[in-house]
Amino acid sequence: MNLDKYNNIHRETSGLINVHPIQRGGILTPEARAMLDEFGDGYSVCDYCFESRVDLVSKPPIRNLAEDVAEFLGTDEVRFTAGCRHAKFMVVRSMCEPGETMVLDSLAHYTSYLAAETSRAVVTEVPHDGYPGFNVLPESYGKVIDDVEDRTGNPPRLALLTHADYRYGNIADAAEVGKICRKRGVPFMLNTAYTSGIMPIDARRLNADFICGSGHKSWAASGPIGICATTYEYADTVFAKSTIRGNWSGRGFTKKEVGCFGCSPVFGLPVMTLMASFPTVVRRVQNFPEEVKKALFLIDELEKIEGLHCMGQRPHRHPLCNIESLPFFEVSRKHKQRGYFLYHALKKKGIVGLHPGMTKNFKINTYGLPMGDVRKVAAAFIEIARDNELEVRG
Amino acid sequence: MSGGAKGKKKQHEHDRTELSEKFRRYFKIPTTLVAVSISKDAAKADGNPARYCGMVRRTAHFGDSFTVTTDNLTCANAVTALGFAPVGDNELPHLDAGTRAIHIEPLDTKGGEPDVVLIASNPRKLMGISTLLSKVLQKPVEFSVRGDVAVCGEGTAIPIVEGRANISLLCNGARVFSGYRDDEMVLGIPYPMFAEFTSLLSEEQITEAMCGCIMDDMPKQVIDSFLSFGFTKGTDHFAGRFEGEIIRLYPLKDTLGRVRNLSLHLPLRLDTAEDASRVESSVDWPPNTPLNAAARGEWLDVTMLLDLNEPLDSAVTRGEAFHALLREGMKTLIDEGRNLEKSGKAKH
Repeated sequence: MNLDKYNNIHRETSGLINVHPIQRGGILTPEARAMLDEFGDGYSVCDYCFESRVDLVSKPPIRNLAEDVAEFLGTDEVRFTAGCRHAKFMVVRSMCEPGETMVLDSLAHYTSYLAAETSRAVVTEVPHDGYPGFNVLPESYGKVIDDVEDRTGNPPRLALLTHADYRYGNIADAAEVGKICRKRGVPFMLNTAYTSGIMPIDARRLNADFICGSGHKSWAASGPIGICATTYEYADTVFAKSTIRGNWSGRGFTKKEVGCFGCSPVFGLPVMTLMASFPTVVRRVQNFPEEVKKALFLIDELEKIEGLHCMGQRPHRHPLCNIESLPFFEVSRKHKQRGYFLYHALKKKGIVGLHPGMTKNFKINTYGLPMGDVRKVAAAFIEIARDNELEVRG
Repeated sequence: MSGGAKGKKKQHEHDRTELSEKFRRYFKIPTTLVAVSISKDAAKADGNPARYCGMVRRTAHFGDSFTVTTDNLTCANAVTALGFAPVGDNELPHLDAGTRAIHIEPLDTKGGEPDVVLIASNPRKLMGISTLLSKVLQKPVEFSVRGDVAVCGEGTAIPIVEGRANISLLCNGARVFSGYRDDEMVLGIPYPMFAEFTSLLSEEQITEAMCGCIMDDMPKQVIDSFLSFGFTKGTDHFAGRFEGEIIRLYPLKDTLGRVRNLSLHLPLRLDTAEDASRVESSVDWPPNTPLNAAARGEWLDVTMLLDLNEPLDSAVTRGEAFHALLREGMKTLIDEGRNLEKSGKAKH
């Protein structure tokens, strides 16, 4: 085993403009960056842990943070989790018995499917409307829920909607889906991995019973950290406490919450960077329309290149977008760097974040980029297009 | 890939440690792979007197290394099978006489190219290896089993002499004296074959896995049909350039997930969203037309629906008739799309 390879590792992309679709909302605030050294040790938040659970620690004020995040999301209780996926898993396992059905949108993240799989729940998908919009329509939820009830005799135990999907950056009509679920008595979980932390989310207005979020994706936290928020109606179910007793010793752990693995594994930097960024996050969600404008500018510029077309909702409503780009693929077939030419050409211009090797389409996220950088990204694409003799309008 | 190893002196570029790691990871082999090198040069015995098969097992399970000579080899059958002495019975699988020493060591240690690699594992693991190896070789992996010269003759001598992989069910000596469990067997592979085979392994469960893309579950014959027509497959749809226009093809699923319709798309970018809406409302196609135009921001999505009247995987088997349907649909779409684009520009 050669251990030298672990020495002196640096991030190649430092200092470059990063448009990686999953990274923009997780970039640390200066306040969070200041935490890195002081709270970098594994259990650094446990110096004054008296209640044996990280969410109950008062110094540093994690307990306050949980209460404030709950209020911020329009819910009653919050637990920090090992990622949004863990939050979804907690909800699904507490709501669905093995064999019971949950419905979810057909653009859901793979971890939504795996939350069902680990809980042995059955999934029934709500279709999207296909190319080019790939919209998940609220009325489809009603139809699928009714179909499940007709087929099984019971309504689904849970409905999950991906608020902004990771493929197209479409924002689904959560409030309407929530209303449909409420009418039918189906608990409603909203996956806000790409929305809470960058845009305002109010569970009450969205008729959501559960909000799952991602600290490292959208709350400017180092992570891994997620957020599982719910109302008092479901808090005891989702955050159920341990009841197991040692058969010989009689030991019990009745303060520990089963779904959180007893005490959620977010000690140290995950929760402290989330805490440090929280004041900024509370303010920045109000700027979301400005962030969307930047994305719209970029889309408009990219679509000046012949054959480039942003799939999904129009007008686009999220900083993540998916651009189909057959002409770049056609260039790649003759280029000596093949499918990697676009990635390398952008990197030369100081831009990273596109999936290396992809040219038929690419995803890009402008969230939090200064407008000057967005202009640089647009200009870089146009220059690359012209260098490769693609037609550019205007 | 060659089927033989005898007399072949090709240098293999791959590091044997890396090959060992790759092979074990791919087939999930818990034991160490055993490298066996036959030497015509004298060497000092290293290791207590034991059976050859016992030493191989110790290497497989504990990572020990041995140098075997007649001084520490206790099994008479192995002495002849491994070429330390001339063989009396020519039926016995054996190396030509002349062996002076045999080095047995873990493959994942630094060293030269051994003559044979031995894998001690259970039938299920060896089945996995044999299945893939026989696919690559395009012939079955054989069993040559006598049951009295097993690890030495069947596992070691046969792969070297015949240049082929061989599975041994072991012998009584191996099971009674050398500690092989009832569920253990040994596969011997000539090293050149092992090296070439292992270098071809790719972790298909990773590289060929379904990644959640929308076109993931299209059957191969459907993909092939669209590709042969001139489309390329993306993660979300198929796309291709026809008559200078980029046409997108999307298989439409019904509520049960069946595909009996295709949609062809020609998104047109107009100057403004108002232009797109105006052209959308000006469309006067007859009712029940398979064409549709819908404004989406500055884009006008012009769509042609193709009703296949049968499942897509049946339709593609019709070859030219299916392609003719696509061609006809595309021609209509492109003609109508161009008309709409003109009207959008004319009224601007």
